[in-house]
Amino acid sequence: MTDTAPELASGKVRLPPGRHGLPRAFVAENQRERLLNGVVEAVAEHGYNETTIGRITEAAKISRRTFYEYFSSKEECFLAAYEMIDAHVRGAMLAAGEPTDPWPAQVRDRLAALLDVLSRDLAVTRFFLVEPLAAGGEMAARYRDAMQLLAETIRPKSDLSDMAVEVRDQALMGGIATLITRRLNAGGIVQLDELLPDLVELTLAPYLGRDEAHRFARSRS
Amino acid sequence: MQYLSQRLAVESARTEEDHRPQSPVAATQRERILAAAERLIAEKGWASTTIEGIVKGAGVSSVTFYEHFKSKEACLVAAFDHAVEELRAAIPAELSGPEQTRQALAALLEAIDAEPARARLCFVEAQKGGPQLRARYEAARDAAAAELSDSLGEAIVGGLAWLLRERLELGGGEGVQDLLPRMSEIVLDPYLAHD
Repeated sequence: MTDTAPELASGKVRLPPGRHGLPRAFVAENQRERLLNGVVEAVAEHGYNETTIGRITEAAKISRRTFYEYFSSKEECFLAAYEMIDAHVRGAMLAAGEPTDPWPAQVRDRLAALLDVLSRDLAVTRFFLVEPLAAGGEMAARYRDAMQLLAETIRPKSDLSDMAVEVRDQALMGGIATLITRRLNAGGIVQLDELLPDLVELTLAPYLGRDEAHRFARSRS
Repeated sequence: MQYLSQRLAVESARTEEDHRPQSPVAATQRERILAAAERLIAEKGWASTTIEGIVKGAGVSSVTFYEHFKSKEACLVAAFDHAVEELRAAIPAELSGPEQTRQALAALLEAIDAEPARARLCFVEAQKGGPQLRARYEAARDAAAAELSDSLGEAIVGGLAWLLRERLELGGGEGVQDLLPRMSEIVLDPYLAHD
């Protein structure tokens, strides 16, 4: 494969027209990923509710007929893109932090990884955190699952009842998402990494107490 | 409210309304329109709520509707503002200590229990109604957070709003008052520790 293969796979580059000698499976993956990239761009520009299949195919530079070879609806395309982003974000969080570190340090490293991955592409972040709530229904349900799974990456081993853990996780992720989307919606330069101390304190306080959480969150390294 | 864009969105919608008539008859008509809008949005969501539906539900003519609101969007924004005002009126204004904050939360849950459709409009549907409404929703949330006077207030209010949204969207808001002990203990207490 050539150097452009990763870019092709990322869906950002069009295949050359005509016979290009690329394996069929690769072409299929490329088209699908271009559509996934297209839905992210269309949603960033128009918002979920105003995004049509026409706008997705236009952004992806792919025919409507080809769209229907991969997805039967805009919802399906949205959900497929969502799944990919969700896995990417969670993967980044899980890869961060030393397994041997104490839990607070892991929390800090994983939250730093979250903010880092989200600050790389704001269209993706908006797609991940803002638009599912505007869409409601199945999309909101996926968002709900994604937040639950993210919460699990920063949860300590605990003897709380399941119900209490669920409430705490939901409130925590609701709070984290609020802080991040506030920054996004404010416009201008978005410095998500500045949120790290607040997110760390928010996560640790129920377990370490407010003072200790505050101290740890604001300490260096 | 910290951001100019939000401030501008709020100001512009308010001036729109202020041009509209406010005689006693008009005030009643306006209330009926808002009540119908609130009910329809809770039943069908923003997208499926039409001016025709609102007019029919309120028992007014569409001419009357346009005397009060210049578009569906303007009416929905006013319905949201009205719903937020009503919820806020149910909550004590001063939150100067942890105990008062807990009482305010209890009052909020009680108000939600009494009017689930209104709460659904505030916590679920407002996020689906486009940029102007979203800005309104965020402004209302910020106002609530400002009363907590805490660097994490915004996040705590966001977390509570999300918990309520979950209950309202998935369960229609039934039994929301049962959440109170958990919300107090898990969501507020760790952050209100300094008395």
